[in-house]
Amino acid sequence: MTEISDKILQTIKEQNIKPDSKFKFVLKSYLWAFFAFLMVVFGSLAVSVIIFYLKNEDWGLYRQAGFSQINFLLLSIPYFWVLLSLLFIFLAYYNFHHTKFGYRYRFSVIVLAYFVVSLVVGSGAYALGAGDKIEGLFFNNNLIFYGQIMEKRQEMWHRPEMGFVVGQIILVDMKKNEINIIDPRQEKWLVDVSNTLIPPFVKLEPSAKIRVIGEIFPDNKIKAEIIKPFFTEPPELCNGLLEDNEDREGEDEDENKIEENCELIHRPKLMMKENLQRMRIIN
Amino acid sequence: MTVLEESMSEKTDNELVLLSLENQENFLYLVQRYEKKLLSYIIRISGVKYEDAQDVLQDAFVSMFLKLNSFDSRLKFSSWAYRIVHNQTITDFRKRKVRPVQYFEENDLVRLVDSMSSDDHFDKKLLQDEIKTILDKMDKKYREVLVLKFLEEKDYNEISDILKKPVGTVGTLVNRAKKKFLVIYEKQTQHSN
Repeated sequence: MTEISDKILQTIKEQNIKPDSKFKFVLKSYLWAFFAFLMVVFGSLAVSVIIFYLKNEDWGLYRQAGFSQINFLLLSIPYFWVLLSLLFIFLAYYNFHHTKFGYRYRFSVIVLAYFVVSLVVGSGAYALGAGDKIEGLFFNNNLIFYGQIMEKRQEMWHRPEMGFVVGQIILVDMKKNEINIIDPRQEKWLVDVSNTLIPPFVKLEPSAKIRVIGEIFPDNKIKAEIIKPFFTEPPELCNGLLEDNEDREGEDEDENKIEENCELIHRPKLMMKENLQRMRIIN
Repeated sequence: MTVLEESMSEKTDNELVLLSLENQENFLYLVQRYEKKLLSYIIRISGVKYEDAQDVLQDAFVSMFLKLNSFDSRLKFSSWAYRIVHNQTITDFRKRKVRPVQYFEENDLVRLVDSMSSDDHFDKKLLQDEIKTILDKMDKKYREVLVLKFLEEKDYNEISDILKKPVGTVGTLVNRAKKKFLVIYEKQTQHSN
């Protein structure tokens, strides 16, 4: 017995050191794997929201609004979700690296695998409606200053000089074919909707947020050509159902179903309270 | 050598791990099998004095015994032992904040240059003092891979398991370390000329 081995054995005996249980190590290993998996799930959900944003952006209107292709692309990227997605990549890598043999894989391989998996799972989640539900949850509850972040992004569509105005309806007068809206800068606009293309899923009612595209006249008057929902289009499903519905008029049950599906995705609550006293409907 | 010692020396590392879990006395045979190699490894990567290295080794073996149940037989025991010793050395080095005394013995330096020159164009006639100075100037991460590859004679997979880095990264580190070695050497000879 050498001097060192003697000392080691003596220490083990004297301090009554026992090997830690196998369960502890197995649990630790499974926990790392579980968290790595969880981060992939979260990352996929973040990707589903990114897909939701990109698919529902008005790609056909950017030239009309005076954006260059690159400028519009840069403005359309949902940076909050991209950053969140990157955070999940880092956390997934960190957790995976701590699994038993996770260190054997290169960072680039893990990240690439993560992208592929989250893109596939994220697309599936988007198809199942996860993207808009999560987005709506963040928007409506103003989670982590989400409302403020979104307000800034939505201002990209508020370009009166180009005939684009964003606002919340404060008054509807269908006798005169006019609506009054208030924009994010608290300016009021009188919108003429007498000769306007209004998609069936856009509801002209107080508190609804809309985008108006048309010709601007002095004193904040707009002759609207198109009215679009403030933030995004409803899911593609809505258009399909609406087309189907033309053949099935009078079927109450189906109409209710369509009503549910074609509701605006976001019902902004942030501005509702302060505008409440100014709202009235004239039929 | 007693009959028991003889029979134990024939056992594989994995068998000795299982026997150590049954009876702590058997851990002694694992210690004896690796103590010399690991002691010189500690000195090579940290440059601490022999006595300090002994303390680190003792702590590392106690930690190894504590973690014995986490040993996965898909891994070589030696890789696992080197990993624990490596981590213990770094922890201990940070705690004590001792200045390195000498990383390599003269014999090590000859072996290091011999092994490096076998697959590269290093000058075998490098002076011992020159090599020592070069190694002292190198980053810890490069010195570590040079030690593992050329002195401990570990292959890339083993180094990967010891340092917990992908095999590709280990290959890159070894190549960079060799290049750095050469660059520092060339700078040094230019200065002396």
